[in-house]
Amino acid sequence: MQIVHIAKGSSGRHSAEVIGAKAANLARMAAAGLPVPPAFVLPVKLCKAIVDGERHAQQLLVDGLAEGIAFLEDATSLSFGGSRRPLLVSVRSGAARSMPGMLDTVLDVGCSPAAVHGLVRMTGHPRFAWDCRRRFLESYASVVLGLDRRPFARHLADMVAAEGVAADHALDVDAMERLTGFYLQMIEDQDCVVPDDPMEQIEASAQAVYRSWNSDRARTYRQLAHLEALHGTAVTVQAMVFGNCGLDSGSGVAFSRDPSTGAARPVIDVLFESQGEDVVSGTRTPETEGSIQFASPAVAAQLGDTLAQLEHEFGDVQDVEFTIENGKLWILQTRDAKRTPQAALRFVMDFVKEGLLTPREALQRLNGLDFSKLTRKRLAEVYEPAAHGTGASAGIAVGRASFDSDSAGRIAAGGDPAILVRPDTNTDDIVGFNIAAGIVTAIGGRTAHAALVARQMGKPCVVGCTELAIDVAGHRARLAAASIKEGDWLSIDGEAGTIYLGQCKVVTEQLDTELAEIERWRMAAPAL
Amino acid sequence: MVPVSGRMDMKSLIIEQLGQTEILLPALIGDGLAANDRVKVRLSVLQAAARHARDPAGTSFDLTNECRAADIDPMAMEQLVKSASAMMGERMTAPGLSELATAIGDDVATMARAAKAGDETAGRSALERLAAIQAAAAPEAMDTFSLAQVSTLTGLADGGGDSLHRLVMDLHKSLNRLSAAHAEEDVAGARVYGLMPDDRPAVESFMRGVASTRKLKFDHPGLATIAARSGARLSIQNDIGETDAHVVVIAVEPNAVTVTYTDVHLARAKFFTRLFRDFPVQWSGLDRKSADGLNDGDAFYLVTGRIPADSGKQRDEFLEAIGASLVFLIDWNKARKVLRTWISKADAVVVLDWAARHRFGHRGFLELGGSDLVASAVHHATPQRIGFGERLDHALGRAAAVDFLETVLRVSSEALQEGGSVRLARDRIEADLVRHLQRVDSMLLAIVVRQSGLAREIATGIAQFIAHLRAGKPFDSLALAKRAQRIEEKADRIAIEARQEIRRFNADPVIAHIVDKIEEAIDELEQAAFISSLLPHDIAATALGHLSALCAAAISGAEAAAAGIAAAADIPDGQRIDSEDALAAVDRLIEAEHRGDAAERAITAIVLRGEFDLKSALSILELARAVERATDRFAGFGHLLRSRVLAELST
Repeated sequence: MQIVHIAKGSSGRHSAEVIGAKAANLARMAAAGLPVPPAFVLPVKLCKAIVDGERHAQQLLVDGLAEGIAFLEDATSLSFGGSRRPLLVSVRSGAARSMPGMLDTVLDVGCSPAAVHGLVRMTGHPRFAWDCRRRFLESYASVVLGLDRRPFARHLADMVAAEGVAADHALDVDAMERLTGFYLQMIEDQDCVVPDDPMEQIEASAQAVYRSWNSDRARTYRQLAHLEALHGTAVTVQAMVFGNCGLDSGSGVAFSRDPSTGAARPVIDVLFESQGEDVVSGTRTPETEGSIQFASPAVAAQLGDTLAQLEHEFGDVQDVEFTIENGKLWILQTRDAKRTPQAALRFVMDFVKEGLLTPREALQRLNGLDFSKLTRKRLAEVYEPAAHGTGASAGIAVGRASFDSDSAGRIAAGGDPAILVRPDTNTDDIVGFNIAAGIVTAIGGRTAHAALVARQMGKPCVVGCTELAIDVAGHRARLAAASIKEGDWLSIDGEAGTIYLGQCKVVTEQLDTELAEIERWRMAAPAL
Repeated sequence: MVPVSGRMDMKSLIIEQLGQTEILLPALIGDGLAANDRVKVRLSVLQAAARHARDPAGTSFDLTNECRAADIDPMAMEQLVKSASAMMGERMTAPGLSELATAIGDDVATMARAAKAGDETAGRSALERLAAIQAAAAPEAMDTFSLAQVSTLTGLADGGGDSLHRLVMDLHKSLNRLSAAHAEEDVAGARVYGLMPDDRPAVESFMRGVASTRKLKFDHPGLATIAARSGARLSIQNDIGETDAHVVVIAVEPNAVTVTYTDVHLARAKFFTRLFRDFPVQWSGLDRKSADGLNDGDAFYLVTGRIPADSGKQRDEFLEAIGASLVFLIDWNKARKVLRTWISKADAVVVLDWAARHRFGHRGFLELGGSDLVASAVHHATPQRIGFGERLDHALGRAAAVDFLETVLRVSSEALQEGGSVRLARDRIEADLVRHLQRVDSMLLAIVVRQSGLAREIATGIAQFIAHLRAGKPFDSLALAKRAQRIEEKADRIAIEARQEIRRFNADPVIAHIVDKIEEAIDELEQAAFISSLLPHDIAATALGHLSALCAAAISGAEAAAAGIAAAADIPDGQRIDSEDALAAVDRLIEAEHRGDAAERAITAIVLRGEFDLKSALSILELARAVERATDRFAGFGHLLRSRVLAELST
């Protein structure tokens, strides 16, 4: 079995069908000289064999991992899970087509107690070392051991409260070490064991990632997104770079243009002293582009240039995951950005203007776009919104409040549109998303998986509404000064990020100028 | 005496629930044939009683030997026969007559069930016949029987009608037939029934595994194996440690092997599945089940593992691995409980897993005394260093405790296998504990790492504050001061604990000095954070630049302290790179002090030469001095670290 190596200077073109879209793009970025952490890929074709438990597949997996880890150790001059200069890796999924957040990823693999010691030796930063360990434990416990993530989050929240700090990144080394102890205890209480041997960790992780192909949510997503023809996921093993190792480190997600409105300026979410999953999980509200400028103008400039370069390289608006490690920028992933129909139209209009696309190409790009959705709706006769959040997916939705997928289903079954109102969202809410007319969350940024999926589904979405406090069990919520209960009418504007009480009036306008321009292209290229 | 009524034990009950009755068939046939022997004796007793009732002076009871052979109490039977007396209307009575009738019915039922396990249709029809016969011969009053009934039961009805005795004879015939088809053989120590020639290599592989580790169970009973073929499937069952609800049944099919395993201990079930992590087994289940006939509290867990086997070689490797693993399940929970008094629950499993993978097991450890073995080593080797009831991972550190207990399991197993002296084993265990205690300094150094981390937290807080001042962005410096105070209090507590541990373990006094130094650095940094909260927000940019450099020096000092101590902890059995890294950290600590010194001088010059109001001047200087003193302490820490490293190298 051929495993693909990705590092600076490695060859660039690989088929997404063979190694998954994520890895294919990584390879292209590495070949283009962009700063990509070295990685290797176990191919898609191994997925089915592993899922079916074929015996030779297990051996191929073990051999492939051993060979790949040797390559990564050589490329980084680190030793996997070592006690002096440890290499940690992420074990990521990636199908031929992007399925954001639907497949599993195990992070910080290799972070055994020996590696914690090694990270301290290497960085002199014990809090960081323990942070990696507790992240590894949580990720391994949930993905590989199948334990519930919520008790981990609860322990973290309890520790944050007990220490009187604002958030997890403010926990000190002593608290972080104790938290890790609680995590281990929890895993132990379920009679589970996290192996100390890094090779054992990675083998179990790679298997689990392959198997996540058949999880309920992945299957549901493939059905909804008409991706049933896909054969499986690849497994990409990538050297970890750390956004959680100091003040000049952080993780973020950037769009080369605004995927909600289509505006031609990057949209960047970043969390300092964090790892990537903190941003995309939607459980912490991130900071925006200005903070990078403050922390490091050089990195901010480099990121801007990189986004432009990526847009050029891939010929479309890009959705990029990045990490800043001690002031050095790393690009972890790029893919074509999911977008609202409005943004899709605006992008091609701008690309034609900027000469990136010819009108003919632009028309091809717009093929399949539902022009009936290309109206601009707005709320009419509204005054003060009840609350503000961040607009994450443009559009207007009016519906009745529901606090979980089940209640959204009930409301929809009664013939009324539902607005799904959640504390935060994770991709398990996919069923509710599909039912709801619009989504509101208390926490999370524009780049959270939830926002991403909402955009793709064309559902208006407001995230990070700090004035929202939800009592899911009690089927009610407080929205700033107002109290709402299940079934109350709400109106949301996913572009402005505003939420109104009641059933507001909606005005629909045609996008006449844009449609006229498209008509002009059509006339000029009648062959299409 | 009430005969065994065919009621199954828990293990059989579970196997039946698992749908693996073919494994039970040989035992059921045995039960059925035994019931056949009994029922014949009982029918004879019934006849004798009838005879005695008719003619009390006739021949005396002569079934003593037959009773004994069928495991029936002859005294009770003789008593019954002798007390049988005639009643009006051709009837007889005798105390125990009803009980005898019930026993007869149960015997026939046992035979019928055994026949049913081998031949569903025949068995079912026999049970129906029995029900019809019992309905026709409904009992009269207690311990009363009509003499006609006796002849119906014992005789063969004329004209082809059914009778109990005819049924017994039919059942006996079919049981004999089944028994011939399931004749017991021995294959490599397994009791096998009805195997095909191709089944032998599979059973032999399994038994090869069992034999390879059997010696590790020492005096514990168990590991008996039965194998039987039924249709397309070969089933292998092993008794493990002979405890109830602990069942493993392996079904071998042409292209796959399926292991069905039940256990009352969830943790042991998980341990068992993990032993096969090198095989591509698809595990499913771990459901909690309860079998009918078990009490509520007796629920058990069931897990099924399936592995495709394209070739006989793959199949046999897996079967051998299962066979070899079973000994490690015997007394597993007992061993885990013992280990848990010394280390965490998860680490106890880690030790047991290690011992299984290295083929030492834990039975030897339990044979040699288990917990007492460890306790006596602690008592002899370290009376004052490890407190009564204290866990070893607390006293030695996790890695050392796990390593020591692995040694204990290895040494006990080796000693028992080699027939070596128990005293020698105990000595070896004590020696290993002493070796770990000598290394306990490493654990104390981990406390210093924690302290260095806390120093870094305050230093970065101040650095962040200065960065915000430089950018003209708001910053909650009061919160910084509060947080620093909290951290400093925490660090105090840690230092007190560290000193206690140092005394207790009689550790290198240099470690105590190192702890003191880092605590002093934290005190200085906390003082600096306090002053930060009072600093005016309009400080000149030139001074702020140097303050940033000063904070960077303090952060670098804290980081070098942690990295250096961590490297130093590896020196005793490490490589040259460990001492080199530790000494490089010493350089960085001293270098940080130089940079701190330079920055503090530059700040002093700016303040004294510039136009600052008193409050600004004082606060800038105080802040700079406090941070600079912290870098001083780090340099002092560096000198101590160097002497520690050099001392380690010279031993």
